[in-house]
Amino acid sequence: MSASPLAARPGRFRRFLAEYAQSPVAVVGAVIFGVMLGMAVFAPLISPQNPYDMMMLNLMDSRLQPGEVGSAGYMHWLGTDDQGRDIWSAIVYGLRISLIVGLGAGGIAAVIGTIVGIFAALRGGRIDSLLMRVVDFQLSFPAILVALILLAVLGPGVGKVIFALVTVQWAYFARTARSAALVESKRDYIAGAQSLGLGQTRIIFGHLLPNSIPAIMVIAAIQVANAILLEATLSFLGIGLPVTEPSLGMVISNGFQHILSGRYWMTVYPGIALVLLVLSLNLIGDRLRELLDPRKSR
Amino acid sequence: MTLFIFRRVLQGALVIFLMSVVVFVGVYQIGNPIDILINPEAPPHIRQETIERLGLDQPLPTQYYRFAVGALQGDLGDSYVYNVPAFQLIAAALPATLELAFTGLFLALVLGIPLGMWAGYRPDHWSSKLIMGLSILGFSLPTFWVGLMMIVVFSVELGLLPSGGRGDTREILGIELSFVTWNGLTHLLLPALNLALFKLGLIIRLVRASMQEVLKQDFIRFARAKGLPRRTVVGVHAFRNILLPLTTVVGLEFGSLVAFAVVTETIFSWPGMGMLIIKSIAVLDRPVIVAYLMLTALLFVVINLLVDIAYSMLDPRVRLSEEA
Repeated sequence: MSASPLAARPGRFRRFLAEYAQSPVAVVGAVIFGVMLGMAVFAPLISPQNPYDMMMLNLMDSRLQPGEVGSAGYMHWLGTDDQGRDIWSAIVYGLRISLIVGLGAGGIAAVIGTIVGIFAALRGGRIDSLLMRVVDFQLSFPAILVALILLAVLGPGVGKVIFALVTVQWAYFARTARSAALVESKRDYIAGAQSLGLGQTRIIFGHLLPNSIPAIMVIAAIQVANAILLEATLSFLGIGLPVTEPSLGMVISNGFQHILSGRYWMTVYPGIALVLLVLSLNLIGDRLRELLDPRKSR
Repeated sequence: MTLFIFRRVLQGALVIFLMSVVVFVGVYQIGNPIDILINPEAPPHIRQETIERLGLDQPLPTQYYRFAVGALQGDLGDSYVYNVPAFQLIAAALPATLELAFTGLFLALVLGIPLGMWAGYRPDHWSSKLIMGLSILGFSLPTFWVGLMMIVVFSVELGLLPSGGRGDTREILGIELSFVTWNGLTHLLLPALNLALFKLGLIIRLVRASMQEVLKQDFIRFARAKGLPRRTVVGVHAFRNILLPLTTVVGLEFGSLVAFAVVTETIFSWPGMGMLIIKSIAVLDRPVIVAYLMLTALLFVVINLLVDIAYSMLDPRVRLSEEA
């Protein structure tokens, strides 16, 4: 029998959810992530101002402490920055950009890595060992260094940051997809499908890929978390996203200049939002690993 | 062994060559340094003279050839901003970065090994669970934000430690070092701790896993059966065997500490290579960017080579399988 809990049938998916819910910490992680995703999607509805519409900013409101009421008549419960921007609104809009970049980069890296990994596993031989050499080589350099080199060369920009993140991350997916595909391709059901005379394409997309997906999902959660962290770090350094696309990292970086004058709220609250986002993804990833890890017989 | 090392050195040289082409072509295609360096109101002949002096009117392959020949002689061009050799700028900033990275690594090991050993020795104890929980938190905390929080707490609120800079240094064997003076040490502590936290979770997890592995081995059971005190069994027999997997990881992690120092140095205004490269990227000081990237690539190739050699000495099967 296939050991994949996610393959197709709805009953299995429900059982998987019930099993996931047995860990309270993991449920908290999923709830936090859901809430933050919702905040990012409905950003204009839940924030009092569009923080990057200059018409809505009033310099009179600059550097308000958390809880002070500004000129527009509502309370800035997380304070404002030096341009009179509401910190809560900046966080909500920043979440949006961080999530788009993180999910986008993680998703593209997952697709590319999975294709390369399954291709390597099926081809085997020289192509396989060459591709895995490339993967090993790539992984021997720290992510931040590779991203730094690429962005130093390419300059800032949303597409360029996503490109740099994908370059850093595809190798993890390729390695995982390859080993998952190798394990699955030796199982009886693949041999069964082959002896039924099913075509190569049908076997790959109908059997091999769906059964490799659990292993890929585990690292996907963690790699999206890493992508968000790395993007925040690069934007903090000023070599990531352009000023027109302020992610959480840039919001934190803007507040950095005010730390020494004691205006902590401009960095502390955006930072907490970033920590919660990354932590929730890591908690989900940890639980998925416990449930889906192919090395654990269930 | 010689063949193995020879092959690896050759591979390393190839990597450096590829890096130099990619970096050079890439870096020299962003923007136009002429616009940044020369006052737009400067008379045309001064403009022309500067372009020729910097070689910016030559075709790209010629520029690369000049660059490569120069690089092999340790000459990576002059910084557009400071007008001194880029190599000299980077070399002057290198000791500060290495001091920071070594101190960070030292702190991570001093804290991580005992915590990991304890968590592996008593996996079910509440304190072990706390340690493991905190290590997950460590993976999720953005290191740069933790650095900012350290400044908020220790410098702004408590006023205990300085928020940035290197403090007093003293020259030892021709290298300026911070940790030999009290003032320098107080400047070093926060950034080094910040850098250490970046690796602490990883080291704790690694040591814990090796500890659990080692404790199952026969020689530990024999040592216990022989009636050796627990201190000796854990502190000598188990500890030695944990060091083995740790050596290779530490080699690779040291490289990533040097790379990550870019972030820590920016936060704590630590005058190392990282702060220099970020400033240089901002003003497109190409010779310095290229020099930094080449030097870091070289550092990584050397570290990977040393780790490979150390590994093949510890485990000869690696070497044999490649020579066959």
